[in-house]
Amino acid sequence: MTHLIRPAKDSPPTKQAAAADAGGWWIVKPPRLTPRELVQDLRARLTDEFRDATALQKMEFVLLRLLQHVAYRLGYGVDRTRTIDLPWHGRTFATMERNLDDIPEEQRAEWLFQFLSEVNSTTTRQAALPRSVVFELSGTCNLNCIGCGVGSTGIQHDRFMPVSRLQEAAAILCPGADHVRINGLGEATLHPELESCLDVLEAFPTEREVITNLTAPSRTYLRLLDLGFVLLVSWDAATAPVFEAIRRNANFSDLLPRLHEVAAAAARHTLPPLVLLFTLRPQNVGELVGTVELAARAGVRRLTVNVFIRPDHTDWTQHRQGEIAAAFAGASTMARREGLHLILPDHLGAAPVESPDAHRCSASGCGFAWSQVAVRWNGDVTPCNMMNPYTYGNLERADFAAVWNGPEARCFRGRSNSGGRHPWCSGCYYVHSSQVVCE
Amino acid sequence: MRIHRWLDFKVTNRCNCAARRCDYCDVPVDLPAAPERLPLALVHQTLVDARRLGFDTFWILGGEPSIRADVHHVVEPLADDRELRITIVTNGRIPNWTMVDSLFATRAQRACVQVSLDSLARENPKHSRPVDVLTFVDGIAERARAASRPDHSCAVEVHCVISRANLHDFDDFVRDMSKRRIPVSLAMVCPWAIVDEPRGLREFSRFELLDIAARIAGLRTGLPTDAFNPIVGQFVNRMLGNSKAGRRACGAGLTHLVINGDGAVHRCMAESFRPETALGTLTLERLHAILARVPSAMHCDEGPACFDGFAWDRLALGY
Repeated sequence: MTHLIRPAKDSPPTKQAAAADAGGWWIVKPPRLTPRELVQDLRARLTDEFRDATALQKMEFVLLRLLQHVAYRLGYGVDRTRTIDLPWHGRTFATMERNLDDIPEEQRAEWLFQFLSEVNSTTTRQAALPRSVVFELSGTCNLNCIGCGVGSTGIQHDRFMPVSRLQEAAAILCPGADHVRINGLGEATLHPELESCLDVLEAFPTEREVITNLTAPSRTYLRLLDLGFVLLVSWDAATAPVFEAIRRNANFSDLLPRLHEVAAAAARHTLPPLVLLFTLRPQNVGELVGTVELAARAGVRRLTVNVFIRPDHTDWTQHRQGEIAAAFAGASTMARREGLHLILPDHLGAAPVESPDAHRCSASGCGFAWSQVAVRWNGDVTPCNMMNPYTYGNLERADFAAVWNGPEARCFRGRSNSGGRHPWCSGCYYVHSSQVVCE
Repeated sequence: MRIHRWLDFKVTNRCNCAARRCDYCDVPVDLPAAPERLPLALVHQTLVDARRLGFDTFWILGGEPSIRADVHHVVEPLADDRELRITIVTNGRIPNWTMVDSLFATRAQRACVQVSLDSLARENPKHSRPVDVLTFVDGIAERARAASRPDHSCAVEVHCVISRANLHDFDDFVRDMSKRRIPVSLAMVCPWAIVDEPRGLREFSRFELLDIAARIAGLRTGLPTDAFNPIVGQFVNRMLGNSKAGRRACGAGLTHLVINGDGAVHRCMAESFRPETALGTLTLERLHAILARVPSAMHCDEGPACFDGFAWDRLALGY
């Protein structure tokens, strides 16, 4: 005999059966209790366990027994009572298991313990919706840049976000958002239904940005500018050999005229709608000053420098601090001379960058765990798009509120900005967009 | 990595081995004739709750679970789940075949009956008859072979607790069992103490403990428990201060949890022997409400009673 029942498989499809099939259990109602049964119960007890008790003790027992019967039935209800369904974590640990794979072994225990603490927690407090939303429209790229790997196998046509997914996510996230960016690890403009995606986002009056490698036709960028998008163009060198060695499959001589054309169109807008993103790497330290000059001559008014982080997190800048400092100083001088706004990171590894153009990076404190969310092409929800391998959950398997307030997200927030933060966050070079684009 | 949560669920406080107080653990137990403290409905509800909270490794123990009248119904709510590892621990004094069959009839990834047997000596602290227990073990092994499928491994294992009664021959016992292809997992009697002049069942000198650790390190049987047993030696060395590893984070209440036979929920096995450390009781609250009182990893001094937690965290995290 079991006190938990589930309907037989061939039973009629009742509401109760449906609930049980969905994972619910039901406690069988307590035994019937009519006055006759109550008397029988009391008689049995008084003639057995309380046989030798005094009259006072027997009276006390009868009162307590009545109370016990009432409490038992109040607790279980008058009929079958469905047990409270707890959130189901049994099989959803898979997301956190993947997250832990990317955390160094010596830190895993603390992450695991924090995560399980969040699973234990019964808090129903809901975090405010993010103010900044990143949509990764494409998880594939036509370039194969050094250190990235997303484009190493060419364009993967099954790695685009379906427009329906964008619609659903945008309907939830964009009404409360101030800022939307389309980018990710892939090239957003490759999306075969880019126009439909833009139509979805146009419905929401947010600030908009796109990060691109500028390989789409010029008309795509003119359309994006018309829709009010700020174009953040990845551009890593001033000379063709270095540019093409880093951004493999790119053609410098094709892209440079396009940069000029798009920058000219962008100049007609009041905001600085075209920004170059220069990722400093071992291969292009000597190209920084030239790139500032190239940008200025193309009519670009802002250039942001971030720093390549090796997959093993070893600091490649450590042995080239002098060279990089000289490049930063030269770039600052060039930027001032050309009237270009230069954004440098505030640190190189553990060393601070002494420059008037240095801006605070996320490594010094980051609010993305609370203020931003990135929705990847496959529905994965992550804290940011800076190659962060931590995932909160997936929109195919849970609704956004459950993912955003789930134990994975709470665990990440709990460790953000602490000594035990995610290793990818520790040396982050991301300069907050509020300082760069939206100021 | 896989995340596992381990629940030690003492489904009864009754024991047919000890009178009022367990010789091994020095904790009070109920006589076989005593009433059950946890109704089956409560056990079932708790197992379902635990599964929902992500527990996937269930150890059903006691007291002596086989003397619970409805023990063959205990794992019913978990029976269809293919991702679980379920172990029932028994002293094998009274073979309960219905209990064994009910476990092997589940679809659990691993279903194991662990039979406690510390030596082949006729006189032993558990007052068991080794010949009878071994007959039971052989019978379980036969049923396990018949019930096993590629995605459902059934097994029997002997659990040997190292105490003063067997500290000189536990390794011979393990080797004898391995000749019968029966894996033996080891553990130290709990809690144990380091004393200069050991007398009691749970007392050892430093020299004896060093010897125990060394002999465990040298044990190789070619059976699955070879992966587990060295952890016992490592723990002993750690308690002797011979380990270079520093203080470790402990997953008590997070990676593992213990429910006593009276429904009291404790973060770890060591605390389960101390009623004052209970987080709450299942007779008053549901498991999730009680677990909410474990907001973070525990920080306390590690002692000889901490072996279960040490072993579990080591298995789960590769310390």
